Formats: sequence, C-alpha cells, structure tokens
Amino acid sequence: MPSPRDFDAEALPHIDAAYNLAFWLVRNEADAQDVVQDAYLRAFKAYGQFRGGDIRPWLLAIVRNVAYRWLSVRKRNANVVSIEHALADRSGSAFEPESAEPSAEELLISNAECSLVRRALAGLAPAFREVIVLREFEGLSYQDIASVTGVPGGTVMSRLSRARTQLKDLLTGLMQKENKNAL
Amino acid sequence: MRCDQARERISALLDGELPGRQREDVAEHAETCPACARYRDELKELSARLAGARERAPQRLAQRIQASLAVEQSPPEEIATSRAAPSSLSAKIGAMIAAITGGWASALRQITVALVACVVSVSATWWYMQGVDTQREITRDVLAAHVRSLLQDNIVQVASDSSHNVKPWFAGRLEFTPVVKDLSAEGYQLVGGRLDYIGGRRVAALVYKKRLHQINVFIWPSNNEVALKLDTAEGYNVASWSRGGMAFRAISDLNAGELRELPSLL
Repeated sequence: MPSPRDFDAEALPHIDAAYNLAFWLVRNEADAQDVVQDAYLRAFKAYGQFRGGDIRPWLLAIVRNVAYRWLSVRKRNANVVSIEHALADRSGSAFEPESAEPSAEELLISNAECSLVRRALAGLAPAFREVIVLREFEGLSYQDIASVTGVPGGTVMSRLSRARTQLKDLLTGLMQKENKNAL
Repeated sequence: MRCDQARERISALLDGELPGRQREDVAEHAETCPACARYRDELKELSARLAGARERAPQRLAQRIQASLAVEQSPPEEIATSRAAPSSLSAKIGAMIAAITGGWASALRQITVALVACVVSVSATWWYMQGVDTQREITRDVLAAHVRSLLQDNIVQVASDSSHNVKPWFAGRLEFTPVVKDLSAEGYQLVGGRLDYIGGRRVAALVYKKRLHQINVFIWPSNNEVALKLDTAEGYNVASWSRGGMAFRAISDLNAGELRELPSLL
C-alpha cells in the first residue's frame, strides 16, 4: 500500500511534464496551473489504484482528462449570452456563442517569445497536438502514449506521423509568411 | 517499398519504434529515395526546433500543490478542533479554578468545581450546537445549490455583466435588495443572478467567474453579525460573513486565499 509520502516523492518530479501537457491543451498559463493542481489532487486520491512502474503515463492520463474537462467547461460557459452582448450585436448574429479557443491575436500576444514553432503547434488540432507534446517534449514510448490518450498503439504511430507532417507544413507556411513580411 | 508506405513509417523509424524487419526496409528506402530522405531530414529538423518550445512549470506551482496535498493529508480532527472549543474552554476554566484552590482544597470544593465545570460545559455545548445545526443546514443548502448550478447549462435567470441590470431584476422577486457589484476590475466577472432557496427562505444568488472558477454568492437579511469565516464542504471553499444586516455565503472551487479577498470587495 503506497503512502502519501511516496506520492509526493514520485509525482512531484514530473510537474514540468504535467504542466507542459496541460499548457499545450488549455493554452493558457493560469488555467494550466489550475489543471495541474486539480490533477495532482485527483492523482493523490486515486494513488491506491496506481499499479507501480513508471508513474508518468498514469499521471499524464489524469492531467489530460482534467484538461479536456476544463476545455468543455470553458466552452459551456462561453454559451451564456449576456443582455449587453445580445443587445449590442442584435443586427448581426446575436446568439453566436463566443469561441472557447483563444483567437490567433490573443495567442500572438500571450506568447511572449512568439516563436514560429510554438504558433505552428498551437495551430494543430488537440488530438495531434497532444501526441507531439507527449513524444517530442516528454519522450514517451508509443505504448505509453497509447495508454495516456486511450488509443491503440497503431493509431499512435499513424497519428504522430500525420501530426508531424501537418506541423511541418504549418511551420513552413508561417516561415514563408514571415519572410514575405520581412521583405 | 513504395514512397507512401515509407512516409507513414519514417516518423516511427526516427522514434526507434519500428520492428526489426520494417526498420531495415524503411531505412533503406530513405537512403535510396531523395524525396523520402528529404522528408526524413525535415522531420529531424522539426524535432530539433521543437526542443526549445517545452513549457516549464512555474516554481510557485510545486509549492501550491505541496500545500494542497498537505491539507489533504492532514487528519480531519485538526480541521474540526473549533467545534470542540466550548467544552475544552470550560475544562480549562475548571482546571484554572482547581489550580487556584488546589493544594489545600477539600474534596468537597473540588467536586463543586467539577460540577460547575460540567454545567458550564453542557450548557455551552448545547447553546453552541443549536447554532452549529443551523449553520450546518445552511452550509448543506449552499453546497447543494452550488453543485446544482454547476450541473446546469443555465446557471442564471438574468445574464448580465452589469450590476445595473442584475440589481433591479431582484426587485419584486425578493423582500430585500441585495448588494450587486461589478468586480470585473478585480478579476471577478459578473455572470448574472438568480433566485435560490437556502435555510428555508428565498435568497439572492449572484454568479461570478474568476478565470474558470464559478463562484456563487448567496445573500439574505440577517441580524447576526458574524466575522469572516472560511470552511470547506465536499472540497469546495465556503466563505461566510455578514455586513449591513445581510448574511453572505460565497462558495467556489477557487482557492481559499483568493476567495478570502471577495468579502472585502463586495
């Protein structure tokens, strides 16, 4: 039976990995911190179910679940239409819910370094983004990625291949645009 | 091997995730086909570029998590000590009197002191428990109302981020006027208001949002002046206070430190 102290010692060293995954899923520093804190509390309570071995896949699966739930809450809250908004743009599409994803401009401002590769990564669909994050940043094996994301190992291979191709193309596009602006 | 078959596997080849036979085939193809070789090199370059984009957790986060884990690990008795206060207080008084009168005191005197201590303790506990019961009932209602609001899509009956729209909405629906403030400058965004039912009466419920945290603030008239108190109920933080003849309860999954500042703003 693992003790609480074991949990601290085992899980806390992976806080960068947890935060990195959370950040790239919710794409906002404050939310990512809340997601990680929430995930650690849940992991602590469920620690009895951890079967031993490398804790990372188990921990990251919890982080991923919490992050996706937050994304859905964010989307749901964006559906509340206030009187002001409804009156202000009654001429237009009044009841168009606000987008849950930050706009391209917001991302530009929020990313201090604004590096092209970060922008390209932000442009990927979450299912692609997460496999890139787990493989490129965390160096997880395909088997571990499969257990974090809950898809078969074969799917991890093809998804990662497609994600890389798409990321490469996005990056090339951004670089060309940047060059054009520089001229 | 065809190019399209090789392409699908080059990414796995670089990751060292291809089984022996396939690894040789794909590697060989990438050596002989210039287009696939370029694709392989581009993927390698991509990995190198990505290396600098990893996020690192802010230092505070580890401390925050350690603190919350410490709270989680502390035995429940520590949190409940305040409830035992009256009896331990009277026991202390008893002990004090006993100490003063001790030494030369007769057995009779000691029994009298013990009896007085008992009566004080029992009546204080009874008086205290009356209050605790009502408080418990209110906390249970507040928790239920909060959780219910989280389960629903429409958490408010009047949706507005302006206090000028929310406050008048309560007129005619309640026999009192709740305080409605626009706290967007302080980071609390007003979502709207609704009616709710706490402790056997209609109350005003205001919904604020801080980041992704939803906060329900319940307000009703009360003559009991109580100082700001923070509790937890089922993992939610609950702040209770009173001001100007009104009782307030704020409940949220927002951390206790931030929730504590809300009473001073409202």
